[in-house]
Amino acid sequence: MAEEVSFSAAERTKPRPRFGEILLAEGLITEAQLQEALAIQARTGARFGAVLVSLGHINKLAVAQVLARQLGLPFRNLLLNPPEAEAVRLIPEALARAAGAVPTAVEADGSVTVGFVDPLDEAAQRKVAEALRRPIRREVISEYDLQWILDRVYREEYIQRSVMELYYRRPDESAYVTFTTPQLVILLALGLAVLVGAILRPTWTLVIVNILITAIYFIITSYRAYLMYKGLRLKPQEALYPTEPVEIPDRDLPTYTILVPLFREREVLPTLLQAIANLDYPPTKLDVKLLFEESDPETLAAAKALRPPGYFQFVVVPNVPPQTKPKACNYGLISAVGQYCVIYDAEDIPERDQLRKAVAAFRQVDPDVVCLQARLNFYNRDQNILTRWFTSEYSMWFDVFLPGLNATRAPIPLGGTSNHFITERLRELGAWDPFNVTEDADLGVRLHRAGYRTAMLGSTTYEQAASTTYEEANSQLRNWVRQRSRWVKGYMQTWLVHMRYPWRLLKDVGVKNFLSFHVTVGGTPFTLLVNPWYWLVFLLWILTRWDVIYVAFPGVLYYLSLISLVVGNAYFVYFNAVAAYARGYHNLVLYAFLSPFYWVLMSIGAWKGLYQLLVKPYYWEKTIHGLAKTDDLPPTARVRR
Amino acid sequence: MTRRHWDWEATVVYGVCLALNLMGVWYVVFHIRLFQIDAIARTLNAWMVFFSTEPKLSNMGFVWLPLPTLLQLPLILIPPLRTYGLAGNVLTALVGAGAATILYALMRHYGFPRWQRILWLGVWVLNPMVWLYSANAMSEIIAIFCLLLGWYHWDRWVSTEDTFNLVGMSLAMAMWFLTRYESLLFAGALLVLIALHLWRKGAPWGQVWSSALLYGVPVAGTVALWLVVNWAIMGHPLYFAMGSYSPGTEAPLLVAGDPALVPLRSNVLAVIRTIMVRSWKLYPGAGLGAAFLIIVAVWRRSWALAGYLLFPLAFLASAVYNDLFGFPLLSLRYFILVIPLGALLWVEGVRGLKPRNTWAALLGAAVLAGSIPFTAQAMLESQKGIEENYAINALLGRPVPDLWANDRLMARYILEHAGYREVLADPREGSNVIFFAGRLDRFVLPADSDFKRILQAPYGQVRYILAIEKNPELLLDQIAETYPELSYQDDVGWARLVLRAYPFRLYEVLGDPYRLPETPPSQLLKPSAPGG
Repeated sequence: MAEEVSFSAAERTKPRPRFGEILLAEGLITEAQLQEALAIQARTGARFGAVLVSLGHINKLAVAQVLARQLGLPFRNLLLNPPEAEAVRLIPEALARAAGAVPTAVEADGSVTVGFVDPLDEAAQRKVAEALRRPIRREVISEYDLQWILDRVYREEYIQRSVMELYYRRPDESAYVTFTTPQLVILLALGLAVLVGAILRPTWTLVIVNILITAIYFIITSYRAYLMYKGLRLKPQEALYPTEPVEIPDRDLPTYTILVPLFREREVLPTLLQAIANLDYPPTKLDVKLLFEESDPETLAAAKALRPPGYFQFVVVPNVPPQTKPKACNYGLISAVGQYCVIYDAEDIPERDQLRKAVAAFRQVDPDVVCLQARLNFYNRDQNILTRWFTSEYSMWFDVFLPGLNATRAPIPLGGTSNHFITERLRELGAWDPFNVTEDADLGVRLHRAGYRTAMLGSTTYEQAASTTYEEANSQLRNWVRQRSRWVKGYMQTWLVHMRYPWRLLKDVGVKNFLSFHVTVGGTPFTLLVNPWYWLVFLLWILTRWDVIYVAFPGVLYYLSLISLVVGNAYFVYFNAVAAYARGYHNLVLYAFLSPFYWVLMSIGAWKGLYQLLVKPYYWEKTIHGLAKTDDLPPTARVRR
Repeated sequence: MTRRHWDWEATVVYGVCLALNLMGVWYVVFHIRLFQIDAIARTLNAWMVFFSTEPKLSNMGFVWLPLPTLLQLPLILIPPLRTYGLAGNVLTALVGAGAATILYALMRHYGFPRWQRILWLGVWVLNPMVWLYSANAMSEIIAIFCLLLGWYHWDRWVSTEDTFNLVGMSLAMAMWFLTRYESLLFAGALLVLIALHLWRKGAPWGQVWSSALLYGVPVAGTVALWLVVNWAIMGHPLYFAMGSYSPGTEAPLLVAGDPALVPLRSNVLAVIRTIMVRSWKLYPGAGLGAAFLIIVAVWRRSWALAGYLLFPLAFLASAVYNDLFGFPLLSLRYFILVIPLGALLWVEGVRGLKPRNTWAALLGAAVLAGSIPFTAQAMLESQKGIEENYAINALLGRPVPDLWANDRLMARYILEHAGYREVLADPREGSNVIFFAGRLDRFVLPADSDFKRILQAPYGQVRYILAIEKNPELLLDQIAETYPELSYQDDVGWARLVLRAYPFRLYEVLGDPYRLPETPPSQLLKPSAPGG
């Protein structure tokens, strides 16, 4: 029989055996474990039970059972004795989650029995009682059971939220529709005009198309060159993050949610768990959610076998289309309890102090900064020439280019992982678009349109503030092309989404950022798609001096093309080398100078991405991880198997 | 986020120096009307890129390295800067102010008090060679700017090892190469210093070679780009060095024209002695600066300080190379680099003293100030009619001849008598006339696609030919090569001299130079009179 709730002072001060003493008396923990947990509790201010769970000494179920015994309340195992869905729905889902409570039964006398994760939380009990407008009786449930029952009862709602919420709230911002009708009309009209022109006035058409492409290319090249210069030459005022690491006492650190979407990632699971365990952040303040796909029970089983500490929570994402990473993240976000949250990929190894630096940065930046992007790089850079090129590209993008973009306060297309958010702002924005295959880049633009900003967590110029997440560079060509095709497709999707109403975008972000959006989001696939064509033309010109080429590049156009080709390419090659050097990857400098060969591969990926955009826009080209050699892993991330 | 901090101090320094330089431009262009022939040609080339009858970038020419002309391109589009070749003068004023600001920033980097910085800056801008070359549209100040920029980045890199500074050094040297060839020796010196610095601090081998690579590739790439452009446009990668107007072609002619130079070309010691003496006479502050730096380096037992001596050695090596194999050192301006080198050596010497010594700073300023009269004297002693001599005499209030009176006279005649594309001219020797005429459309020039055709058959194509009155064997002018007789003969049958304004000769074309005498074949074959 559950105990009827009372909020009297006597209740609060009633003498009870201490929680730790019960555990010790029942032999659930040792004296040493007790002392260890007490020390951590004193430092972090966390609940004693949570400390023990985070240390892996006991599990959440045991905490709930002991707590029930300590308070003299009944304990209910929801898995063995699940309540009716109607009972659970007596209070709103949001309240159930916030209060850590779930109604389990309606008693004959009209009162409601409510299972509480923390039966001493009087505020939560008051809110539940107010919502029910009936007397309540308390029983104790475990946090794990609460999550399980909510997932079961609200499964359909959660699916709707994780898949369709953005589309329902802001259909114009969702990539659910790839091409809108006006966009199709414009594209077809342009195609038709070129076709007719090519038939009637081929020379004129060639020159006009060439002028347009060259002008766009020149603008993109110039702007990128400027951003790279800015990125390498940041002034402290442009850094937007603390230039010195800030020491924050553990007690003052907020709860941090870590979302890790997993799909067929058995190989990298041990490394992942080790990397998260290595983070310099109190485990009691970590809310780690491993997001498994329902269609991938092998990874879930492998994770269970590894028996991670209690602050790792397993979330199984229902098997409904689209099966994409953003959908899994949206699903995980529903149950996130952290003030901040961050996404890591399965193979990620964040630097130990990343979360602390992010917290420090969030406390210092302007209030409109709701997202911090950490730098990404690779731990297996020396595996082969592809990983070396990939690493120099990443070094340039995350260490130089994005900080340059940051310094100009332009929208930043987020990288796939290590995006740190203020959780509430993220929810307010509608989280990730599950139909966009570069949901990160899209979210970066959307938050900017909503009046917020992203800042970079460190740069080459300010190493002391920077934090890097090391990933696995794709080491197999086919796998790499798949990944690149998805990225380019996603950039095209993002560009199309935000260009549905160009005028509205212009109003939202202003002229400068409007142009920046085109260069960074639209310009990336554009340059990759047109590059092969211009390389071919240049080669033909060198070898044949063909008259048609002279006709196609009249006057100023010739010079613009030449500058873009020679100066522009030289500049980008050089900056790849600069970025690798600035990171201390000295052995990559030589390879960076060979990056034009890498650009050929990028163009192949881009053309594949364009093809997929037309035939299967939501298809998620899965990147296979776990191909790196163990020797490539940083020593701290190596796991004894 | 705080607002971006603007470096007001550097801005003020730049603004003041620019104002001084612009006053210099006014004095040079409008007061003493000093136009240097190389500067005229560069400005003319920039002008031709946009405003010749066949606008194209290759009009910038392949005689000189391209950066001074390229930098003038945006300025030449501003109509007021087109007159009197002001684009070139304003460019040197801008760059000269930049050079002064870098010197100032370097001293600030080393913590020289403001009054010392201002004192040294004053000594810098008051040097008459610096003043003249910050206003006269020549390329020397761009070279000085690049030297200072490279040096500044080197100094910062040594203390911070910031990648930006390594890149800055590299780009400064690359820009310098696009201005003057001797830069390559300085670039080499800097490469040695980079490697030595990293080696001495025990950097891994990978860092040493990657630093060398990151520094060296832009310089090497710039050289390669210049070769490719020469090949793509002029048909030979070494056109700039071996082409018809190149210094390599011109050097033997210059030596032939001045027998006193011949012994220098085979005697290294004589060359070194000559260079040292000329450098000392122009700017003793450099030699004293080197000596001071050696003393400080030995006293402090600092190899890092001693390393700076590689720069004056690079200068010496480039001068020796030029004298032995290339362009003989005729003009004072080839020594102008000793002025920034002197200032920089003193900066390094003074900052090498720990704690930095105010008396040493004052001594440095005094030596550099004391070098100014030497510079003025060297300018006075330079060859008569040469620009430095002209400028210093004008500055001292002495009467100076109007060096370009004949050029302007010829230009005026052409403007009054010639119509659209009626004058065949080669700017290699005739650039002044074209420049003062200010109307490119009156001329047919080598940059025009039909120049060669018209040169071979001018009759009916052009009305006039502009020739030069000099020994045609010493000229690289295409007109002189094709019609050497126009350099000395008043009446050549097919053309008539209409105006002679030394060294220019303007001919009116009366007929085809290659046509046989107009005698009917029947007359040539006519049998002699019977009985004759």
